[in-house]
Amino acid sequence: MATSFKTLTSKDVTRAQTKLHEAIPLTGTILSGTYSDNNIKDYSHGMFQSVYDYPYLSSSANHILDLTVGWATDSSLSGSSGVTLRNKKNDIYNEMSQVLAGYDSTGSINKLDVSGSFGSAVAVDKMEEVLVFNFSRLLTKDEIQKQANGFTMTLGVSSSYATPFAKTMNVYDISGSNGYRTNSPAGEFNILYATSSAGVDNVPCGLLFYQAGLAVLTSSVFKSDFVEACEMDSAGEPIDDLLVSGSISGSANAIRHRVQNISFNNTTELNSTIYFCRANNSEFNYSSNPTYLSSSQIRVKELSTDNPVSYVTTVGLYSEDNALLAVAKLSEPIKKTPAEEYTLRVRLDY
Amino acid sequence: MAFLDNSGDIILDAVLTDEGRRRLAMGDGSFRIAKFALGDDEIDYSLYDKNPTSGSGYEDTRILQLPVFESFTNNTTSLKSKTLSYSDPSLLYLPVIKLNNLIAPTVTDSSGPLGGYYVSVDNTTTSNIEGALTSPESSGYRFAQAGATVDQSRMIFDQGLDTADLSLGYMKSSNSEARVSDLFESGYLVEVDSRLLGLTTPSDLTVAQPSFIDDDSIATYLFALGSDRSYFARQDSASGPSAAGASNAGGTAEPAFNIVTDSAGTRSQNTVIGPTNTTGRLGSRLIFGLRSSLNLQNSQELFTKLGGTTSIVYDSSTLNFSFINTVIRITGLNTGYRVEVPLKLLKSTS
Repeated sequence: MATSFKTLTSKDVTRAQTKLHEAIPLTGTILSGTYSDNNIKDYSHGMFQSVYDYPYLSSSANHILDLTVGWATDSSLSGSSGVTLRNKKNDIYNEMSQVLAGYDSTGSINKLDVSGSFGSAVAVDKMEEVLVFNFSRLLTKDEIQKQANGFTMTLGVSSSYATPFAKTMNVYDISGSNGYRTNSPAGEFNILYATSSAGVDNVPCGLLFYQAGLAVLTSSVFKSDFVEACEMDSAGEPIDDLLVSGSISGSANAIRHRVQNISFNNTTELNSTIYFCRANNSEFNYSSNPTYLSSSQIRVKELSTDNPVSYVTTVGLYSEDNALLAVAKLSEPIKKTPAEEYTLRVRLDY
Repeated sequence: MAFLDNSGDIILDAVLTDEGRRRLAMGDGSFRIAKFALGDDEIDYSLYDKNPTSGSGYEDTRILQLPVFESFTNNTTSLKSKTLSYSDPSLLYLPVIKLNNLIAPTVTDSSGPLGGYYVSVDNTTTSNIEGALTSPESSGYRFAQAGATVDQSRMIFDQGLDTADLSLGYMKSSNSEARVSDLFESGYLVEVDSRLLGLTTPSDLTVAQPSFIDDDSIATYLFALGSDRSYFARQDSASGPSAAGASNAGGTAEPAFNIVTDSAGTRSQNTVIGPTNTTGRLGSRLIFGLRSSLNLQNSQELFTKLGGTTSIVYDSSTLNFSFINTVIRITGLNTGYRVEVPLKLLKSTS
């Protein structure tokens, strides 16, 4: 009996997962003015600011990240006078905490904690005023790659507003793939540490959420707790004053002014099914190609004792009811005779 | 001692066809790869030189240099011809499938579909054609409206070894060689645009149910001898022309696919298999009727969208029609041989 199909058994099918990584270098100039801020999008709701890699009105523009800030309702800033957009800043903080740190056993929202222990009662570890870098899914893909020093951000921490990068501080996930936390409802995360030649040595300063593609820094990175008390705007306002009296967009502008570089690798999880299409010596040696026959006689044979020959260019994967579901092509025809056997590995990625 | 060349490992990346993506999106388990086939669409076997002037080893130089297309994602475009597995490597002849244009003659006029049929889609068109032409069934016309007779709507396909090198006989009979009976086709796939046409049984014109309709509205019908005998022609004297009353290798449809012996001798009748009526080996005969869709019968919509208008000149009159050109494809399920018949669907406009 002639057959043109060969059934795939369970031994002919296997599955594999591959992780692909891309390096994502974000130079600070994209954040701080290459396009005269035409690549920076502010919204009327004022809850966050978006950064694009090109003027955002262009269809060529890609979304890079969103910046926002917030502080807890019981933050030390809450007692300040002249608070602008208090509710929005509190709402941002609570939303971030809710999604990233989750709830305690009473249903209350945990605070973001620089130690990574969200239920901890150690008050000094709580991040009550935060700067949030929310990276686009376009960049992070399935997750930020977990690797030692895989995520690095260089901040300008000189006190002068005019020369922010006279002193810099590196922020990075120190332990990478060897050590990370899993107690966040937003997936795996790690502690971000700051180090600077200006006297800071691996001091915890924030959290990096790998799958969420999000970095949260304490606002203290721009205070003398780390390197110097920084002038965050041209008026020389310190970070706390800015967080109290400025808009969220204004704070985002100030943060962008002090970001020199960000780099990380993203990860794409590629799930593949590999079909081993085995053409044994006695199989697939004839063809139904209309040119294969001349008056029913096989063109490639002169005598019945000649070996049949076919030339394979394509592999088709079929359903039980003969619907063609996937196609793979060879780069050149391969000759199939009873003297040859081939195993064609056909990979289908999802 | 040199190393062995291990560059022969063949790894192919497959792409989903549009039908594959549709089934994946349906999420109902219909996306399940169960088998594979190898195709050779790009190969022109007439380029095979059995006696190359450069000596042996150069028979397929031109074939191996043929460039291979990238994958087509349309499921009906790829693997139109497949390589075949026969256990016998000494076969010198393979069967073909041919449209029987003796019982149902094809179009002969120059404006018609060469080697195919005009198809009337409604009663008005049929009446107009019958008024303008005597015996249109013999002039390349098929009538696909409900109510058309069997003789008017059927298409007939003969399968067999179409060569003068073999004396007349059946491919499958008690006294045929096993390797020849292995070439008998017992299943057919018929593909037709379901927006335009359906298929019917040849006896009582019951509308057939397709196995599936793909994303491009192409309906695939599977007719197997075991379960769909009403689509296969009767074949008496299956054990040979002289063995009257032997088991029937065919189905129940008429006209029978027989070798007859009478005063004119032993011969085949009304078959396109075999250059003469005393040569060739008869396989199976597939018969089905055409039925135009309700949309074609009652509306001009698809004619406007997919076709145009034409005039056909008859002896005493000229008729105006809307038309759609389409194709019906018949593929041997086991032998893989494929034949396409062009159809020109007609609907009277005056």
